[in-house]
Amino acid sequence: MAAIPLACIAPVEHAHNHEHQIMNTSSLIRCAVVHSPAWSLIAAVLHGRFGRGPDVDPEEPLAILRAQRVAVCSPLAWQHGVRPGQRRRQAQGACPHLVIVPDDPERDIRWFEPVARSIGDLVPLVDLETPGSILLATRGPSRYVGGDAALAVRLEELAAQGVAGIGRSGPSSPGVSDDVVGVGGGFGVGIADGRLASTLAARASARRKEPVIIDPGAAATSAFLAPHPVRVLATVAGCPPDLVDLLERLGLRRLGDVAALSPEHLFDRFAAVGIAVHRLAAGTDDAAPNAVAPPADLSVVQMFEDSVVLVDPLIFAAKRLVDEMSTSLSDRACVCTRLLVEAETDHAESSQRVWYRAEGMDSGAMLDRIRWQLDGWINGSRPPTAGVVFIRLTPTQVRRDSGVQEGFWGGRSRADENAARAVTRVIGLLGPESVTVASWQGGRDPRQVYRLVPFTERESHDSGVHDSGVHDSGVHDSGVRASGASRATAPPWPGSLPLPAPALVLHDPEEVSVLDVDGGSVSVDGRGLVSAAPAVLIRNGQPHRITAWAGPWPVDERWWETRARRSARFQVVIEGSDGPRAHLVEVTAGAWWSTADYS
Amino acid sequence: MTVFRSGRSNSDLVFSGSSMPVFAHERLLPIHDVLIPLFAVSNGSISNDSPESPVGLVRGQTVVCAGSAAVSCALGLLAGVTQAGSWAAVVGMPSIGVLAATSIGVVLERTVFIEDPDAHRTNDARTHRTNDDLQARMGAVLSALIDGIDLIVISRTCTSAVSPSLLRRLQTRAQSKGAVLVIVGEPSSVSADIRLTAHTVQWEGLGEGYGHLRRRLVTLEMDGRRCPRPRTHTVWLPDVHGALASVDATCVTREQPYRPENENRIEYEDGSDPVGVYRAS
Repeated sequence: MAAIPLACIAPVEHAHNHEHQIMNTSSLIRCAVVHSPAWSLIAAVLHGRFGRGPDVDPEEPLAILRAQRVAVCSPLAWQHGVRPGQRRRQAQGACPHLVIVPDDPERDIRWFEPVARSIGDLVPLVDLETPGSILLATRGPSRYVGGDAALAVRLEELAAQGVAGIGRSGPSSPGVSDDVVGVGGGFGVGIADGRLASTLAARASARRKEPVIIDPGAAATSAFLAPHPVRVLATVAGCPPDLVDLLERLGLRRLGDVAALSPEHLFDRFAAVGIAVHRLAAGTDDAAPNAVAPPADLSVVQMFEDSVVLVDPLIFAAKRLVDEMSTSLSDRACVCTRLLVEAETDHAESSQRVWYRAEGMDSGAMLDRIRWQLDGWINGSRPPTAGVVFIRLTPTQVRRDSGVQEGFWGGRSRADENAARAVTRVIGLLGPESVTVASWQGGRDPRQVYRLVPFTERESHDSGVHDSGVHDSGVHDSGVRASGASRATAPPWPGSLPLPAPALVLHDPEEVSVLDVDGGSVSVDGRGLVSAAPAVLIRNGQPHRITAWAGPWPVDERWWETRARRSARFQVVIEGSDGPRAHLVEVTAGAWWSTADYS
Repeated sequence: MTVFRSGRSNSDLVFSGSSMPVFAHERLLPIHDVLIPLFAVSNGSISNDSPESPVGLVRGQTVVCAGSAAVSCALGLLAGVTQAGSWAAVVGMPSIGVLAATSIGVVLERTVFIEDPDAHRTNDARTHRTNDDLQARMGAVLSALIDGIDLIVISRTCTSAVSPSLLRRLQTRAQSKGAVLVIVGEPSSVSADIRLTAHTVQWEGLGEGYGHLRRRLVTLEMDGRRCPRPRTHTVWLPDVHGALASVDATCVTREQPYRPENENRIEYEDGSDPVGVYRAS
């Protein structure tokens, strides 16, 4: 290498760069996704038949509700007119004998483990996102079985075998019949470049009942993605839902519409997120927005001197690991989207899974996934023969924690969640206008400095992905902080009252009278001179002696328009029944008003 | 709609009927540093004065703030609690001074303001809302807040609309959920665990026609059912920055030490005394 003249290096390097750029536009990892659209229903049937769950008859129309709406329904229910998104009443109206199956993610993942293991026989490391969906890189396996088409067929077989193997004690016993898989709409297999395209291909495959294979290359990928609604960016790719809302409102309803825009325009409007969205939509990149390289030193390991056989102590140990890791991640303002969980026994049997969650995992979500994996492995049909001696957690993909999705509830504490629940309930009882938060707006009058805005409006304002917030969604910022910053950087209000501020500001001022020593009403003339020293304040018919006062402080606001207001303010300290009390009184057009109480 | 839902608490801490040990600091809501000497001996069982023992508002108690500085006193309690990450709700006090609240140290991000559930009574007169409706509404709102929010400040007008029996039930609920009710003003029929009476000793800074209000010396008097020894503490509420400050600290940090005889003399920055001219004329 040293012998090559310098002049030769430059073009070589340039060529290499150029190649790298081309690679970059189409260097998505080719993935296969095995997907069962209604896995939860298959799991429910299996749980009833082989587990301890209630019996679920696959011959009946089935549906699962999440958040009071149909989330999944069986093909039979679909034939009767049940559709995802319907309310319970609507679904039962369409199909009166619809059976509502309880939702239980833990059950779903537990019964998915055999399927994951069956596919794991072919590909050692698979990504699990949700129960019912497995992602794997196809480069090796595809070459092994002889092409993408062969791989798709093989994966479908393996998935079906995995389900069929459940409950089969010997080769002669019947195992699970096809009708169970039919409840979930079968398995779809999609092979395409990148996570987004392959997931969408698998969904399409489940509908068409045949594998969907998209040709490699950016052109084919973007052609496949283009007709999909932009909503899939939120449901599959982990983009903030508010951003997707905004795109829809801007008239970009399909991925093709987004891809057709120039990246520069998207960057102008949305900064870094815009570029990421464009890449996703055009099929050139599938990294989640804000993806950053995972720090190298984040994997955490727990070794056990004595091997552990039971799941609970393992989970307990894993909890410490998860806490440690989430602390170091949050110190770096990162959130983990892809987590590798490895466990090994004394006999060198191991369980490896990659868990993916587009919106990021907090420590609870990580712990759930570890529990699912270990529980499915140790209590599953093919348990390890020895105790676990080592657990390792490695975040393989992290994303900057921009706080955008968190919205007003920036913190993640239990107190915040409980308060959110309480406030939501009160809003339900009293209406959205009656629950307010204070927002700084500035002003001379103590009544104007803070404005009470309805809580609901504030919340949507703070989600950060509206017109003003989105430009810096990559930066750790939220509306709450923004309002604080505007207060700190705002110019002063000349003529505002000096601190301390009154503790009570009366939005409906109370009429009072201010008298001088002789009992005449005190007035302020046009030049701002007071007629006599105020001596008595009459409030609610009760006279109070004024012990100290200052003023008049003239206020001449909006003299240029019809809302002009001229008044003069006084601070007075009066003798109350329970000690001195201070008031802010204002004289406007000869009438005195008490506008604030320094209670 | 049930007003009082049964079942286990969804709060961080479960108090009554739980066999789990609860640490002393978990029984308490933090308070403003300046108020620590006042609360140091009032917490019943942990009544030693040692600096290590945690000091704060005991969860589940009802605090009444009365006197001429009642609102500022309640804001002082709010400040300590919201600064420590807890949430607070202010119910039925539309005229509360938010600027004063921030200068005392209330964290507005964790404070929600809720209008008087009875606020539209004049508008809704046609619907002939009965007292039972009002009680149910009040109970539902307050118990929802008690379920999720640590400190609830209620105005006296609000509590006077609530029947004594409902108020007692709310107090019991607050005890089981670990929330603190702060009632501002002198309620007629509340058995307060702690009563904080804030007497204004004097206002400083205001003369006869000159100056402006600068700071207020307040004596906080604490008594009540759960306060074995009545105790008083004198603070600046507010001090010249609008904050809650202890008297000693203020004396140390100010350039001029506190001298009562000097109280009303406010020098104008340019040395002139327009008010003196005015008084001479």
